Amino acid sequence: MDSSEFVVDSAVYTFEEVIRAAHRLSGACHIEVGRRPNAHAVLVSALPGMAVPVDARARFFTDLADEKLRSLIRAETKGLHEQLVHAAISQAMPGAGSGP
Amino acid sequence: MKFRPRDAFRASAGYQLLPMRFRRLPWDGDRVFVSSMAGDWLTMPAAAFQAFVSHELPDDSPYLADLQARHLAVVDVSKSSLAPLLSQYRSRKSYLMGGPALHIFVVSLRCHHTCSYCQVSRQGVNAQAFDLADSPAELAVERLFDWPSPELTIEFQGGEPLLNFEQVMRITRLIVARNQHEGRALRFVLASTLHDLTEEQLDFLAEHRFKLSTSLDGPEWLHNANRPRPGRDSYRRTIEGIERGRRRLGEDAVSALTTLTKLSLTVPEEIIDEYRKLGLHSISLRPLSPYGFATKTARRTGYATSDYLTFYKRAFLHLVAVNHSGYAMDESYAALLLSQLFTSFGHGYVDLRSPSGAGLGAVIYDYDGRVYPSDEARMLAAMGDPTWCLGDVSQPVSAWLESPAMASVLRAGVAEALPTCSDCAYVPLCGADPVEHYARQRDTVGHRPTSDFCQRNMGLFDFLLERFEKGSAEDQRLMQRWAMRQDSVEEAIHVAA
Repeated sequence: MDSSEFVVDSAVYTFEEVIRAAHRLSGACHIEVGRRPNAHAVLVSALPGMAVPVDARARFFTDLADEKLRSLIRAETKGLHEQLVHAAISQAMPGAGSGP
Repeated sequence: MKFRPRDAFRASAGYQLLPMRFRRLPWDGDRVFVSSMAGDWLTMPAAAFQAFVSHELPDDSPYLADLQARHLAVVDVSKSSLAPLLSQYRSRKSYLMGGPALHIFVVSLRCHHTCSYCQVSRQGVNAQAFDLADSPAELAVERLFDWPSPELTIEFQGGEPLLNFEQVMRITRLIVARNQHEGRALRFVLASTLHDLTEEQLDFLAEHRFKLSTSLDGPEWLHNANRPRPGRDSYRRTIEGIERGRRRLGEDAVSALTTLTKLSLTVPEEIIDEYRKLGLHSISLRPLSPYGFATKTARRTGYATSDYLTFYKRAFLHLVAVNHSGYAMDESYAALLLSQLFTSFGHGYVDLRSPSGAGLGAVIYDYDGRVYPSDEARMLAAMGDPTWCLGDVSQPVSAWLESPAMASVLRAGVAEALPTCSDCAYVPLCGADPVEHYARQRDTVGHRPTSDFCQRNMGLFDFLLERFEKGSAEDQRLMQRWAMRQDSVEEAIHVAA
């Protein structure tokens, strides 16, 4: 297989989620990501001397579903991560007071 | 059959997610490895994890208590404290607090050997222009004490440091004298072939309680093939050096590590059995690095990371069998990764830190007075690329920290902020290595899907987790013992020679 195209419903997945999932395949094949009406399109094509992995489609859509979960986690914990890191490190600084 | 009341199946919205990352298990895609920001972790079914993230996990789900205990969720915000999470995070990152603790003095580039895979730019035994001179050595000692770390490990390496042992003694004495009023905890290491080690040298090393780190690549035929020198007797000389060192400094004062060539990958059992034969209880199976002479001979001696992982798995299984037969021996990198998985202690291994250990955990004082954030950075400079030079010993430490090289380290040195790493479930246990990515990919950030660093470390984490999960109770106890062996973890830190 020299190339393949995956079409993703943009009402379900954001462009960022598609980019993140596509990036994970970028070690195994060449990737192009584009926008279509109501959809995102990912064109995967073979790297020189290689074929597109036979499981590329399955891997991409599994990764895409996982990226959706990561988006949910990111949305709920946004800002909290930085606050916790700051709280943890600042307690270790000279002269720091007690934490939360 | 008695059914639970309807309420028991009510989805719970009564918990708050905490920062976390996850990864599908490569050997079971229906389950995930989930880690907290501080590296606490569990595995669970992917479907249950999806329900958890979507706030659809029932209140009485057996996973909820576990998720809370691992700092992945807070069930009752009013009753929960985040103090244990913060404490664990601080503990993981404790290596940041004191500044660099590992200081490597390159006292000479001269060496007897002509190893095809040499990671440094060795010079002939008579090339004394490549020895560290007195003046830069004195300045380097001054700079050493400019760093705040209460514990300082001073490692002498080369080339072959025994070829400029006068300077080893001089620097050691300067450090010890200065430390009379500095009061730091000092630890001296000599990374050497140990060939031609004399009684006078051993007297000095014993006086200052040196640890010796040497290279032993396996059985005689392999070691001599990997490490040619006039007389073709490198193996015999190394063994004699190990024995002399042990007799004088103690059994535990001498450690050895292998450098793996393509030839080595075919004989993992022989390499391990050689270490056992010599009574060594730890082995370090380190792959070739893309530096120094190794780059010129890569086609002949090099190999793909996937080949290294295949070798490693075979070696690991043999090591487990050796241990089960009654002889205790660990692999120091596995011990380090297992300590990351099963404890929350910080560690000193500079290649597996975030922020990067380059310049923040280690400093290298080269024979010519130039200073580098890692040994690999020094090797790149020897290959004609001074990108990572921090400055020289005549400058204050503050100038090194403000250098463009240090800025490059910091820009690409926080794994949690790197593409792909930022979402990787292993990132709290792993590190960033901008110098290696620069060396291999000409990009300090690096492209993770094709990164050897990433493939190697993720491959090893996956493998160790799978072995732990599928292993017998005896296997699991063994791996937990390795995780707790601090001396092996320290050995992983001082892999040189």
